[in-house]
Amino acid sequence: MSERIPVIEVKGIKKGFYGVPVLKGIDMKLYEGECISLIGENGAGKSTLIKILCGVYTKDEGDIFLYGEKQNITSAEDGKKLGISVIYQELSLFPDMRVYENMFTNSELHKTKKDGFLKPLDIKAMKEKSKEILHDKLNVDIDVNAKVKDIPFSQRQMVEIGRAVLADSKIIFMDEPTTALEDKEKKTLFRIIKDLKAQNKTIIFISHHLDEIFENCERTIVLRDGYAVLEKETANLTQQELVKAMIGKNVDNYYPKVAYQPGEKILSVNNLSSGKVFQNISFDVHKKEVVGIIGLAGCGKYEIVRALFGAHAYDSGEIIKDGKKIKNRTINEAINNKFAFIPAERKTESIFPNREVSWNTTIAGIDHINTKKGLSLSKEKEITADYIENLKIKVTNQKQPIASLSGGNQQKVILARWFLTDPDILILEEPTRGIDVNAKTEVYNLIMEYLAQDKGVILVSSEEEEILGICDRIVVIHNGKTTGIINRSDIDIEGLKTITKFGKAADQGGM
Amino acid sequence: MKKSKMTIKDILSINGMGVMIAFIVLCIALAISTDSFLTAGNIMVVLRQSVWVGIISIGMTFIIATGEIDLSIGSVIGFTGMCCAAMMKNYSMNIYLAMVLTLLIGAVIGFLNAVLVSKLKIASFIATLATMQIFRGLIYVYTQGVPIFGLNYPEFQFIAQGYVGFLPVPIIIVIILTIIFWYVMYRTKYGRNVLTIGSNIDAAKLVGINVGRIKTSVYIIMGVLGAIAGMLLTARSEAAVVEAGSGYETDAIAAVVIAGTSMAGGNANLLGCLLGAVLMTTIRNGLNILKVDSSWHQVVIGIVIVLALIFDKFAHQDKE
Ligand SMILES: Nc1ncnc2c1ncn2[C@@H]1O[C@H](COP(=O)(O)OP(=O)(O)OP(=O)(O)O)[C@@H](O)[C@H]1O
Ligand SMILES: [Mg+2]
Repeated sequence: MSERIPVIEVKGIKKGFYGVPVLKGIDMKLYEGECISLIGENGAGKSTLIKILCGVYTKDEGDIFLYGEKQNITSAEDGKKLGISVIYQELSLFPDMRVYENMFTNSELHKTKKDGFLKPLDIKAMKEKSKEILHDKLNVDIDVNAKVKDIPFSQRQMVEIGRAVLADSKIIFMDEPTTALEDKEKKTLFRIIKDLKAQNKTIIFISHHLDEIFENCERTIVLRDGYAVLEKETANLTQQELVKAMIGKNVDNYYPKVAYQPGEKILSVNNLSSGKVFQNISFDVHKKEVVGIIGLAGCGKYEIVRALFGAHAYDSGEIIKDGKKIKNRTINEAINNKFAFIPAERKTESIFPNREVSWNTTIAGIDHINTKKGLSLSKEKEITADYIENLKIKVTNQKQPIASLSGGNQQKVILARWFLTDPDILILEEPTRGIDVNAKTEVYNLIMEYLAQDKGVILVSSEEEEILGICDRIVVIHNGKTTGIINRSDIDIEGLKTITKFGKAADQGGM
Repeated sequence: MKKSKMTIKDILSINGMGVMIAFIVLCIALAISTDSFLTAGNIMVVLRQSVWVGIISIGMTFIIATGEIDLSIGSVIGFTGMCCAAMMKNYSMNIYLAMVLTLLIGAVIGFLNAVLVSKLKIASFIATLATMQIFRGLIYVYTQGVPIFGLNYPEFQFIAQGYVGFLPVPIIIVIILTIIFWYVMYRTKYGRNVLTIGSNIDAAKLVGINVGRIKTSVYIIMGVLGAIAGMLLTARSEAAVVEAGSGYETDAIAAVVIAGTSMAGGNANLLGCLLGAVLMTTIRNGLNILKVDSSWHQVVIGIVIVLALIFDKFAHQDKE
């Protein structure tokens, strides 16, 4: 075997925050033309490692070599100069700027080749190039003139990917690039990864979806307790082995579904309509029942549940809870009617990033800590400590800002936030996005425990496995309309995929 | 496991440490280099002169905590001060009634700003820049540039010049306001909501916070505080002059920011902003005692603000 020079080699990387070690000595080598997966539980330090390699964080100890040469990467600018592109876990686009501007942030095209600060931008060329990448290469239909804040999250993710493709870097880090993507877009991304490998680029791919790792990565490195505990050719790995290495134990049931005997009807939605977005949506939710809502991108599934929570307008139809007609025109009204809603976009819609874990926990159920003498901080501390323990939230300190927690742990804080309000109906939008296999199971367990108290859950998800894994009944939405309500026992995963995609079961399709 | 590993770095990175240190260093330097700085009389002078900016910096902290700004407050001080003077002098109104009406005017002005910002969705920087011009302009329109003199009504003078025991009334007012607003900011649901909006406005809506109402109330608080400052200023000089309060908005913003409150919203250091206000008066006072030409005062103040901010930046760096 000839000695190949690694594109990146890291030796003994260590990093801690607030005196708590996260990485305790990582060694790894990455070669040309390969895609390596980095996996590990939430908080294992995957993003931290990536951020050290690209210069966003500074390491405490250790060395980084690029093509055998020791490098001192101290800023993202350095990383970029060395040919490193990153697709960050948390989107890093500028929402008020246009798509094409975001594609070229800090690497704008100019009309002249001459150097100088005031040289005119070549807007036309930038738009053309953006279109070429996004439309032709990535197959996404995005208006390059649109402002980023006006396009859906999955498309924003594609813009991020497009930006990395455009930069034509030798090394590309992808930190959970698929979390916000729909099936079709995922396929495109996987095709792009193949192309990049063919062009001898080096890729690090992070994901909590093991199937994606098996599909795309030659090698897998598992991080646990600050070390790389396993490194192996992906082809020689089994799913059990991977999970065992990640969390230190076997998981035999990813979907701890408890099929309770459903109780009485708790919610009826009748003919709910909102202009062109969705029409005549009707379904019921019973006590101890999880109702799943599934559909393709843009089918209106998110808007439907948001309308139930007062966060999206509806023109007609009725909502009946416990036999009484309610309106839920505003979020406040919905909360008073004991609804809770956990949105999919954690960063933009859920967390108060600079505020403490405790603050984030109590903000929706703040009346629980409100006394005659004002807010009781001791009570807040107590409540937060309880949730940290019961939900096994990994924190160093309940006063640390929530943004410094790993994604999965942030999500658990948000669950705690709404459990505290003791809602009757819990609406979950993609609740396990970015959450590791173990935490996912824990979240499902929490949902099941919560159901046992005679509650109802509505779950919107774009993952068929998840829907089939924990829902009792499934509402399929196609182009804003209900195409069917299916019992869990009446369908398998392939059937569900078909009906989601085409809006009808295969055998009804006249085949 | 007890965490007693508080390093120097941790202490330095506490919000507002910059202003604290700047303040202490400045006081020591002035105490050493002059005889008159560290006298009870002079300290009182400094505190009294900090009152106006101190009061509005409380309101400014609330506004900035929500992620907004209010540039009009200096004009509001001048305008409300003038209204108060006019009601007393030109319309011979009952003193107490005039003061209550002035507070009301302040509230209405705050409400106007709020309508522009939260109903019409005009960026607060621009909206309050406009109202700043409008209210300063109205002072000129009404007074024709002639100050309203001779406000020697004992009840009115009392609020700015009186004493309760050995404490000057305006300082008592500041202390009371501080206690009230500290409590409101840190121990009430309302205060939480203010900061929560500044931290992430979209998420705040989704936990049921009425963003428009909170923003409106914050501007109304600011307007009322502006009216209080306006009356204190007028009562102190026993006259309403056209340029009263002008430039106070920048002093207040500086006081808030050097206390470590981020302009992006979502956090607040209420006690620190008062220290910031006192710091700026102390600088002016010290320079006066040192007989530095007054044209240099702005320069020095600007430099101190920059230094305090640079300090905070370094102290916070690396926290990542
Ligand atoms: N800026 C920060 N300040 C404090 N602690 C941090 C910071 N960034 C990360 N951490 C901590 O470092 C640990 C590793 O975080 P990291 O984001 O690297 O995890 P991850 O493996 O990417 O997890 P996930 O799968 O949830 O994205 C976590 O415990 C996290 O709380
Ligand atoms: Mg991560």
